[in-house]
Amino acid sequence: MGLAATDPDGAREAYGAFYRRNAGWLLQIVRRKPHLMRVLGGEDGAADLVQDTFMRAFEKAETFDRGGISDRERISRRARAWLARIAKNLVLDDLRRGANPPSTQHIEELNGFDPPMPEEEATSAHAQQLREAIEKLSERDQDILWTWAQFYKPGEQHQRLPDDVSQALAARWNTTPEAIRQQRRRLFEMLRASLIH
Amino acid sequence: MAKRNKPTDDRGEFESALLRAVRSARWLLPESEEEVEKEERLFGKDSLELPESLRDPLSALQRPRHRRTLPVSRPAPSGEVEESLARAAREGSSESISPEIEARMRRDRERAGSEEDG
Repeated sequence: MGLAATDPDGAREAYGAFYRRNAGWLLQIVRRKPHLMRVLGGEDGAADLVQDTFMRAFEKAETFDRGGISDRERISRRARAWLARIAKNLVLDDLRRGANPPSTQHIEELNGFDPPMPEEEATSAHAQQLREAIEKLSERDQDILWTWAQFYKPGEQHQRLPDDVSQALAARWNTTPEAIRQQRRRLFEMLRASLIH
Repeated sequence: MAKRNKPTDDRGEFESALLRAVRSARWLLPESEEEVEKEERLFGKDSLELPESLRDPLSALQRPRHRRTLPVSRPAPSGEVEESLARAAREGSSESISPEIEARMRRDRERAGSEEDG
């Protein structure tokens, strides 16, 4: 039985402290993801996502696993990763349901907002080439790639986007799911070719 | 000369590399301690000052459930709901209703409730 059931006041107090430490961080992270902001439809959607994430975290607090760690900094990072995964799952739900209209404004406002990647992350020439290539893609192709990345599970064969997600993606760009699928195939071929040459 | 059509087993490798590129471009939310640490290194550990609408921690617990994620109105796929309900009626048990249909029915009820409230 969780704290919420045995000590509701204590649970709310602990939740309040957790919220104050992390809500602003989560909002900041969400705002720095322009493709996510597009799906959320802007600032109001981002605020809603933060609130929904904390509501879900409160309900599912017992699922947080400290992993036997006692270092406070690491526990804090682990908790933030857990929160971000909850937020991601809520976004996947949105994508499956085709909720929220698109907004290109946030792509335009937030492009170039991220600082340069630290050197240690450029692990290979290929990785760097790919990263440069994806950042030059059109808004539509970035949306296709971002949506694919939300659902892609490394190591699994024959993956495809859920039908609702394909339909919502197609609707965002006034086209058909089949046209989106073909565009994704062309896009991947083009990115692959960019590594070869 | 480089091959344009690589064998299928290269596909997974390419797609994994592509996912890493998307991650390194920070398009995705962090999902691990390491990714959180990288984000904190770049942007700091401290929270932003919250906008007025987010300042009260309890407001998240008091708002209507999943207001943000309500589905847009769209037709149910080819009688799936009706078939599921008919099967439940025939078999006399709600266990015949799939979890997906049950979830949709619940969402519809919640939406109807919030529309009545609002």
